[in-house]
Amino acid sequence: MSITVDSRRCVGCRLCELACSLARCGRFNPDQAAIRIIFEDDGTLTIAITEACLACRRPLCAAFCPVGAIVSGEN
Amino acid sequence: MPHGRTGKMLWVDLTAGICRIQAHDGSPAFIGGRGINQRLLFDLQPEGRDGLHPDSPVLLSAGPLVGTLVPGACRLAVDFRNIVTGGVGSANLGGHFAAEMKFAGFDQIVIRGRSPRPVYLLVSPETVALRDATTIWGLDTWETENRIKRLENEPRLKTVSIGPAGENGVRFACLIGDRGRAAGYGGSGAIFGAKRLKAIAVRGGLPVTVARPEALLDELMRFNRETIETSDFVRIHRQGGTLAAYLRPGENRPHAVCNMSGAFWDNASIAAVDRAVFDQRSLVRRHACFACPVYCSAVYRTGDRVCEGLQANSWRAFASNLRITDPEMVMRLHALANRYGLDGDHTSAVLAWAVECFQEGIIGRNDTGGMELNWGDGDPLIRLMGQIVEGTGLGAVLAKGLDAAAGEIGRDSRRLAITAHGNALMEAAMRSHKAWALGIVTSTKGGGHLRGAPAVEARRIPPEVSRACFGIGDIQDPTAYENKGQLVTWYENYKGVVDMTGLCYLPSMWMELGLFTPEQIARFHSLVTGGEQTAADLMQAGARLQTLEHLFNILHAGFGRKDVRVPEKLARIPVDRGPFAGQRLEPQGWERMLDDYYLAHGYDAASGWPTVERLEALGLTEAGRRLAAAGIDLPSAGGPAMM
Repeated sequence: MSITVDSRRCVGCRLCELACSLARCGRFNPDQAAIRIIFEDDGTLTIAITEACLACRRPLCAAFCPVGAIVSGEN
Repeated sequence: MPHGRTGKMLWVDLTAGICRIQAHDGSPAFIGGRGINQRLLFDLQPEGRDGLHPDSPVLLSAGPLVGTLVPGACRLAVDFRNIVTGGVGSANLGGHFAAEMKFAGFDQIVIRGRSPRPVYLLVSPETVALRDATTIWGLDTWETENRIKRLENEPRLKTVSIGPAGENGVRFACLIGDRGRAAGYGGSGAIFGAKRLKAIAVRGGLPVTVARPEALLDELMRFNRETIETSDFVRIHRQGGTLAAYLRPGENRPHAVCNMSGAFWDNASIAAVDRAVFDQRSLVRRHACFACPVYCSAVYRTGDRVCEGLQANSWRAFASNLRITDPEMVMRLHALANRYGLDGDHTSAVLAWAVECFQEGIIGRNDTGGMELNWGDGDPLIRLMGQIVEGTGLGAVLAKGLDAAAGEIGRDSRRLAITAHGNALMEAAMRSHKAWALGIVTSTKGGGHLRGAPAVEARRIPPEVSRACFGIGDIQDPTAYENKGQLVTWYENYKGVVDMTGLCYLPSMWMELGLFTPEQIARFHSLVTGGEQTAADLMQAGARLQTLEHLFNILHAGFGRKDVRVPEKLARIPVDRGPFAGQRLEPQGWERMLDDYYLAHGYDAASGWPTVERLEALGLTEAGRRLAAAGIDLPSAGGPAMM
């Protein structure tokens, strides 16, 4: 499985951080997510995936992303 | 650890420089957010002390759904004694602060006292501390956030802060978060300023747990699939927020034009400052508050900075109400209000009133320091905003708020000032949409459309739907007075539920009947907290909150039916053209709506006060005793409540 992110689509809702933390820990805590939204000074956003990402088979981060900025695939 | 809550509150005594962490058990009767804030404010606020007094508290709270995946659960409730009206002060801000505050470990922060020197409050899992803010005092809200992040070496901090407006005691100064999210009405910024509290900075790291995570996940997936992704409201707001929904070309929608003198703006003017113009000139990206899949906001470039906004409200404030058609000027005014920490509605109201006074010859160059004030000319208004913040020239008068400024200027200027309970109004559609107008004026925080004013009134809801949704009759005609008092009552109670749980009012039944029904909120609330409160329980809690706020207004400001008046200008000048031509607020229709409104709440219609029986039914008898102790006798034997 793979996770592909497109920061240009991101709107900064951080639903992915919440969803990932729920999948990983069973509770909500963005600091325990393996995905992080970085708010840049120029107003843009960066989606950063950490090495803790397991590229889940049915990733909740992608399921909750409202803009298709996170896409899961076979590879 | 309780579910949906951190179980902790933070007490801050700025006079003594002490922070105290206290465990709390939650409050089924008041849920959270605005509910627990107002409950505590009612107890803590001393009589005879205005909101700026060190003994007067300011409370911040994030409801039980905040910090979870429930869509749009991101709101921060800020409650205090209103320094504009003297009654309830209650503001609400979106963005990312509220969730971060919960992840930092607190459901609620209570602030009292006055610091001997400027400070900011830092709250994180490792640190709760008052930090010296001497070096950042005087900075605008954007620079304040930047500086605190650098001082703490933590770019992920979220802040609410005041700018120079709050520091200098402008009565309508507010708190700003996320460079464009305002806790607007009532002067919370001036209260922070009086307390020498420059900002609160929060950083998370702790978890929020929920009672039934798997069931919540299933319900969220279903809700998103069946409701969010099929909603017309969501589809339109994703295209460009409230501006996209508000500015439909050729729709002849009512606006606030030239100090609310007119209700319609020509299409050419609207087209000059349409959402597409701003998007083309300066859009960086669409933007969401925390946990919101609607992403109705946007980030725009302004000069060499970026700013959140512009939404319909700020557009109305700085475009139509001042008749400004230069998009650059509209954005400058919007950004400046946010940087100074000024409430946009009240700022627009005093600026537009000043322009109209100048145009009518009530004030002249002697009053303005030589400036000419004309509709559509933004440069003098930029200077006037600077004077408001600095307390100089005409700005020193305007900084006292619209009602006080009209009193000070005199010369028949009050007939141009549109206020409710002494609070400035800057609203569209009040002449034509009768429930909308009633809800704006009955708002317990003095005025404004974010309480009982139902946005759905414009949707011409069929009678069978209104009966099913609200249990009331025909509300199809926006210009009719019938059944509107009941409708406003329903929405006041419903808004309480939204505010207590931490949801956003925009993607809710306020705008579209299928979004966040009380039953849906109860499902989410139960799955998150493990509580068993039904939709009816939550609506009853909403009525309880609404009634408690009325008691606060009676106790501290003496408000009642006598104060819920039709703004004179809206009765005198009818809508001049368009589909609602000739509409105005007629006193007889207004009084009929008020009769219905008080009856629906179970209050005494003559005084507009809750009855002792109603207090008992809502579990507020003890609160009523405080009024009795103050020599205030509440009426008895009111009509049946609608709930």
